[in-house]
Amino acid sequence: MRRMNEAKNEAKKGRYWKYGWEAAVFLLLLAVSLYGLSLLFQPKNNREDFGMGEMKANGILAEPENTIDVIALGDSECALAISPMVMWREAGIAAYNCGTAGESLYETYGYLRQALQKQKPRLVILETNVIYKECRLEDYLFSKLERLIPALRYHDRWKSLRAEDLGEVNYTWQDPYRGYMFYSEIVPANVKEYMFPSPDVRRIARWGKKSLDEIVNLCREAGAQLVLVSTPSALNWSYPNHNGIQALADEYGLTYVDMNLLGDELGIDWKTDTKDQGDHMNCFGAEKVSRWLAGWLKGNFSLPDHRGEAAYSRWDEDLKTYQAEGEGVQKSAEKAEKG
Amino acid sequence: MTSYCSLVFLGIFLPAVLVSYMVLPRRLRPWLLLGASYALFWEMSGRLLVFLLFTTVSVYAIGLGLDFIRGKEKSGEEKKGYKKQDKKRYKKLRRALLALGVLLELGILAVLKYAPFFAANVNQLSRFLHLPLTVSVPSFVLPIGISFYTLQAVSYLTDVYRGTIPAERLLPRLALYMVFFPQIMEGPICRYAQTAGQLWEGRPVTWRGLTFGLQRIGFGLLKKMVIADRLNPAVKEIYGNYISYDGGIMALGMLLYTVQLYMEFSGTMDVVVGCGEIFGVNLPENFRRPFLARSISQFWRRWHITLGAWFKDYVFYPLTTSRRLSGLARRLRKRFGSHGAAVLSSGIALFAVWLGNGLWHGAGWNYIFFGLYHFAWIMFENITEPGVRRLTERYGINRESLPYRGMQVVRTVLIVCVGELFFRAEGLRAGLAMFGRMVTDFSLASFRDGTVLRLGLDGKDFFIAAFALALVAAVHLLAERGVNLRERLAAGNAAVRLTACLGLVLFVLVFGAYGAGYIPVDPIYAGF
Repeated sequence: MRRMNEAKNEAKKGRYWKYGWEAAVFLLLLAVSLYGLSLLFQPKNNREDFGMGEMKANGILAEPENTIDVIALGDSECALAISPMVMWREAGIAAYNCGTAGESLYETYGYLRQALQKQKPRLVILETNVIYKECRLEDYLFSKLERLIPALRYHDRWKSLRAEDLGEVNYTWQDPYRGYMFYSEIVPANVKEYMFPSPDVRRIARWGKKSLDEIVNLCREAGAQLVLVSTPSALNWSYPNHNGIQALADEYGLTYVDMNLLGDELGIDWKTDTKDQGDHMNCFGAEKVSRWLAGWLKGNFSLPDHRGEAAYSRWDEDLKTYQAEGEGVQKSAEKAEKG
Repeated sequence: MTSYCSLVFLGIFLPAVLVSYMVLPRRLRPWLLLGASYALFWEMSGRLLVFLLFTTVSVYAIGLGLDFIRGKEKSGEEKKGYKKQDKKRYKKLRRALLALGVLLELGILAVLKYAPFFAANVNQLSRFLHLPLTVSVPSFVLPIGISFYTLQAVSYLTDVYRGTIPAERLLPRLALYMVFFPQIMEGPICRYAQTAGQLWEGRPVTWRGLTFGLQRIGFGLLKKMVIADRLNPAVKEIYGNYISYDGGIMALGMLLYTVQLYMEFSGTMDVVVGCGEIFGVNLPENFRRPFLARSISQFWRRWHITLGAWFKDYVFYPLTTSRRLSGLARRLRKRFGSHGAAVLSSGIALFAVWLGNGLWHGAGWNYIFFGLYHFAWIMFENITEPGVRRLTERYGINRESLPYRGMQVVRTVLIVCVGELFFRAEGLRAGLAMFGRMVTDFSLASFRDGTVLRLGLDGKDFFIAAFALALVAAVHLLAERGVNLRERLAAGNAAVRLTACLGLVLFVLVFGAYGAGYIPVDPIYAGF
């Protein structure tokens, strides 16, 4: 009763106005502080020593404006299976792989949004394993908040602040492999068949679906065609997964290709093409996946062949580096086989 | 939603409930709190909500039953021909009904929480004795907060039985007492008389309640996110791989975990109590600067206060005042004198309290050891107290002097830290091994060769955790001297108030262990 009277008295005296001003000043100061901290903490270059995580995926920030035609998105399945350099060699497709390990769909949306600030891709490939990743409301909301207030995303940079952090943002690091994660290890999978037909349909998490909606809408707004691609993974993929993605593709009216069903056409050998018993592709598997993908994209979408263009001369140089590493791995593999 | 410190709780759930609460007429507010509390419980435990509903309804019915018998007893007393035997009969009936209620509530807890532990131990014993007996070990998922709401249910029934409170006639009011959303996960363990009335009043949200509540929540987040969660990787590494480290790192692990547990639990309690303050509900405090305690008994009057008070009121007192124990005390007095008799007879009740306390924390031998470890120290303190008093008097040592008090505080902290080592260890065997390593292989080599900075925390992590800890300690020391910082801020200059609040929020946002690079840490006590 006493509290009620206190509240009434406070209201009568008009003290709520005073409180309202105080709250407004607090919120204003908080907003200004967070804006200032965001400017300070934001990495000034896309390098790890500047505080930028996932350097390979963020390498796209340093690519010249409007030079990327295809962006691949997804988790580690994407990052290890789709090699833009192979697609360049095969069909002159300028692609970038923004896949990162352990990624969730709300992060995928973030990478796409970030990439679209400088690039106007014609095609966006979404590797489908990420669609089934756990996606909690908490993380979904936090990802939104982080984008609104970068200080929350980079708050841990208080540990590594230096003089350069007072300067302008200038992204300079370019990944010669365009985001692809090169792994040459071979750990065979003891598997022959894993796609057993089933009528079951795997559902996706509610907040994952919300992120997928956002990715679809963002692609539409940017005029990029979204394509769903399942790269081979004997450990992660199954028919219920396939059915779930097919249902989503039908719902959104998207093209979907499941490489797990391609069999001999793709020619994945689970004894040599996986780095970890059928979970991910190694460079041999990625070569097959990317070569097939380049051909399929060339045949089904009107993508320009940039080979020979002056603006893309760097891609040819990077291809040489890539080929050299691939040949080195091939030679070691042959040596090991002979030995 | 797994924590009161989560974005979903603090950023969506709490504001949504608060706004709805403010716009609703007063009579509907308790219903909103009840609905929101059940929604939160459902979100965390799904269909296991049925256990809470069953407990609520059964407690309600038994409470009414107890009241009915008491009413009959009273009306009988007024009639002619009422005999002593009738009184005894009613008392017996009430006691039987209380026993039924307590057994029912504790029985559910025992089956869900302790049956797997019991079955596993029966199997181990039968293997050891080469008996052809194997019990299948069940596995249950526990409803969130079952250890907390069960104790509230038992306290309600006992209080109705004792006549301290009348039985509740309005089921939703009892239901809200059982499930009020800020206390579902980690308590505090409230008494019916403490909170039921306040909750059902639908008190208005005041500016003072709102700001005080938010400040308290902010302080709790500092404790949890800046200190407890930041220390988590090192604690996990040390306790998970103790075999790889020397005694110095064991001592560090013991210290870090004690800090983590206190900051985590008391930080969450700050959030809980702060939520209550926003809705005009004064929830009981669970901590009162426990690390300033001068003895283990004092420590337990300052640490998890509501659990200690529950055991005192519903286990210790009933046992010490029971006819058998009083008789025993009388017999012991002749032989051991009044101090000896008091220590010994209360020791029996204390043993039950600490066994229960250990078991309440979890079904594991390390928890039982934890309880009995504290029992042993309290008994030691009780037995040696007259001797210590005589000695200090003989040598003219002032027991209230700063050095003496400081020595007592340090000794208590060390004893508590060792207890927490066993509490956190992955099993009693691991706890004993860690303790053994700490004592027999103690060295500072790991601090010199940089091992300490390879535990998941770098120098800056240690620094910021220590800095935040110093801030918390300063606030606690002021509180110990009777300075209420929130009152001072409220009465003081607006610029100072704004700076302090803004500083607190920014400190948590910048130095909190959350987001990329951190694994979310589930509340420790929600697991009990």
